[in-house]
Amino acid sequence: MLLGLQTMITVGTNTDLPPLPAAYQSAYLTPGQAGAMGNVNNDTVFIPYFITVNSTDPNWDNAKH
Amino acid sequence: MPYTPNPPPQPNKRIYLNNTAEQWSGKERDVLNNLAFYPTPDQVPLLVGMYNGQVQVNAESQARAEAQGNFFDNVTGTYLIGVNDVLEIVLRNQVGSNGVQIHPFHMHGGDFWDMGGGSGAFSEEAYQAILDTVVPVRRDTTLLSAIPNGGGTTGASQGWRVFRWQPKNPGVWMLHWYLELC
Repeated sequence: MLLGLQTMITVGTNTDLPPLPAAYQSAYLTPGQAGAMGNVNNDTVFIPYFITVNSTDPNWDNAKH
Repeated sequence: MPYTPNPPPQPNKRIYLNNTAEQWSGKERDVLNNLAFYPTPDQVPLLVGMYNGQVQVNAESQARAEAQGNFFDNVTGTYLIGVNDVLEIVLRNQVGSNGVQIHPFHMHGGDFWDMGGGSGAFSEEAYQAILDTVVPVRRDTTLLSAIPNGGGTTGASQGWRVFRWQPKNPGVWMLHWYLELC
């Protein structure tokens, strides 16, 4: 597990992203595969990658961090 | 090698990042603006989501982030800027549960102009005094000081750093100190 003090900055929009070179196409999951991994449909109440003092443990034991 | 001046551009956006450590249910969490980085394997990386179309970052997203203040978007959990923006980042070191610590910060996505830093709380006056006398250099890593070290009341600012960043490419770029594998 990676832990650290960090944040991220998103530059531009979806349409600003460059097209993926062919060699990279298979490195990205299809929407269905990626969606099965995560829960971006619940992103209005869930902040990706980050937890707050009120978050429940995103890990396995569901204990509060 | 001849010296080629490369002065920093004027920023059109500024964000503040407050750095500290807190005890959450007995566990120390290092936080920036009250958020701790904690990815899990079942989360879709944001850039993947953007490429797949699962996550939409668009003009509406950027307007929402700007309206919320500090350009933070709680949908993506990132700060949103445009491809032509020049961002000024003010790192403020605050006394936390482990006192106040010196941290290196490394920026992905291109170098930045290291504008300078100082002790105590950030102020425009102290920052301007540096701008009047120092020619900023470009780096990819800078140091957030902790001066004076190890004391003060919780939340007190003890050290700051400013840098300007003109991104070269669209995407999702990380700003971090060291990472820990556990």
